[in-house]
Amino acid sequence: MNRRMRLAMPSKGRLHGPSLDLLRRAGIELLSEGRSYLSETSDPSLEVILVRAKDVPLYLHYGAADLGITGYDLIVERGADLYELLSLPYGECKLVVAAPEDSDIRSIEDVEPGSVVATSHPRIASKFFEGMNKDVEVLELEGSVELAPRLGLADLIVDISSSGETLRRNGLRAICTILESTAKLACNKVSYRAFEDRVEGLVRRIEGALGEWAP
Amino acid sequence: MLRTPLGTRDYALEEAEAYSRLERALERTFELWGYREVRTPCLESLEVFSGTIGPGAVDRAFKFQDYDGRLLALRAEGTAPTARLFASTLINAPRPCRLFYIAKVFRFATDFPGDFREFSQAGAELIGSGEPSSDAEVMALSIAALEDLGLGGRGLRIDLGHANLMRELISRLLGGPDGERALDLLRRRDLRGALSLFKGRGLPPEAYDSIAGLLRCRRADEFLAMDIPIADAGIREMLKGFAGVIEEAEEYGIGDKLFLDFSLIRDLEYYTGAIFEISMEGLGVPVGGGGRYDALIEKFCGLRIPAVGFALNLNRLMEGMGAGSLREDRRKRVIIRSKNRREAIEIARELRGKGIIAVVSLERDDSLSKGGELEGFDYLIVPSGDGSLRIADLRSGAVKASSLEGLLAELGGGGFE
Repeated sequence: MNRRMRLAMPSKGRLHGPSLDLLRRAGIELLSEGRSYLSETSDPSLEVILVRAKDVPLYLHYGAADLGITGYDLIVERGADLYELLSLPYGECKLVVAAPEDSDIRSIEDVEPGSVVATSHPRIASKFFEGMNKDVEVLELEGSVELAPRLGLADLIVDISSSGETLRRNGLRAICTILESTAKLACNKVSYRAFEDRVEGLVRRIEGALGEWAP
Repeated sequence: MLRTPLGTRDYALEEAEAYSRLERALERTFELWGYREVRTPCLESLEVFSGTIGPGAVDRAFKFQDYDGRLLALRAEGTAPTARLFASTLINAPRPCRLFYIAKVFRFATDFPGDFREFSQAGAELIGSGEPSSDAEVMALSIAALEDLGLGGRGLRIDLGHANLMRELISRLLGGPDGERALDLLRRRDLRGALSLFKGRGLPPEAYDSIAGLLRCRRADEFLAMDIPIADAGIREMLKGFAGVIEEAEEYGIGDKLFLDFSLIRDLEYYTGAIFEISMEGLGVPVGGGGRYDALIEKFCGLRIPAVGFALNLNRLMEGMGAGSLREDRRKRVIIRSKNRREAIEIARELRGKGIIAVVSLERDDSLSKGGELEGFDYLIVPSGDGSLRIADLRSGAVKASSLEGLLAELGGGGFE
């Protein structure tokens, strides 16, 4: 196949800057800078689309993009069946269960049946509590999850945490880590097969750029 | 307005007809290869799936209780029911036995919009042979079926792997939680991550090189030329059988479409040997897949009967083909208006006998002027009362007088082709 490969990148948020930087270090420049959602690059065989990090797994799953950079937690949350070619050394975070510091919840065992869990990762959260045999109600929030317990909306939360600072500021304490995440370079399965040499070439370039880079 | 449940959809008119044509075309290819049809019920006992397709796939099945408390499931995939049917009603049939099915399957869990909870599969199963030629035959059939649909130019490819080879190799070399991690990384094709687990384990360098070489190997000739210094008899046997499958596939002329992928994992647990996925350009997910399942039929009848097969996902196939890529139904559609209904009904009967779609107007009317009911027809026929017909070509608007014989000559018998 000779068409261009399409790489989906986060359009904003904490993965946006380092991803663009990494690409630049791998020698790939976006040609239409600014707010363009589809951009040609200095590599004539590669184009870039900028979409929400959360949607990258969806684009990849259906082959609307061939390659993508997004968080591992978002891939798992989407349940997307993708190839995760490379772990990238940024976007490191943990998905944790956190409870108010002044509550009696110090471990998962203390979670009462029927507790309400606020999260923007409902799929992972439901699976986790199901696996622990805890019957909880999962409440999906798009953002500001850490406010939910203080506002009486939830008893505990499942949220990403990198330093733990946000949790502390909101009077929350992490009681358990569900998964550890970093940014990933992921690939649609069929695209990988069709473009294997080009994909592997790009992976090597990015790997090369990583060698000399500490974001 | 009432919508269809999540993950299901309606097909109407052209789309439904295109679906039927797709099914008929696949049926025709299967039949030409000597495969015969089986139909199993949509409802099965849960046991048909629970001990066979694996816990992950069972989780995704629609399950419920019958009135007497027995657990039932909607058909979650096509192979296990076909194996059950074979074990119960065809166990004395001559082998090898070639079977095909076109059936709806139902899977409960998906939160990908566009992933269907109900979709059709067309599958073929070759039961009773463990020869590599049977693996090659079903792979070649899967390609032929797609080529017969006119998809030969769409970069069809088969990615071929093995259900147990990597698993066994890894458990011999790594074992334990690291072995599980390596398999999980391989499933997600993080080759670097997986191979890093082998480093620093004091493995002989040739063992590491074999694993890395197998994982990177794509083409059949590379594999056949590889020297894999593994003494384990079980693994050597698997490698030998696998090489046989590749050689037979070459004989079928599908070698150029064959790519090896030893990290390939299918989500169904009954596979025991070669496994494969079929993909085409322009569709981001494989259009089908299959493999060898030598221990499945045994679960239903206690006899070890080897088998191999594949299934195509027809909803994905429709999506990948796009509308209109299947030959259109070019039969002419004719409507007959007359004040003399018997005459109109008789003309319709004659036309239908010649393969032309004929509808009798419900009105007693003989006007040639347009009306809503003419929508979608090619010709309007109005008998003149003297044995001749007035025929309006509804596409061009032209009207002429003709006889039934004259009309039939013009329509050329209609017909599907």
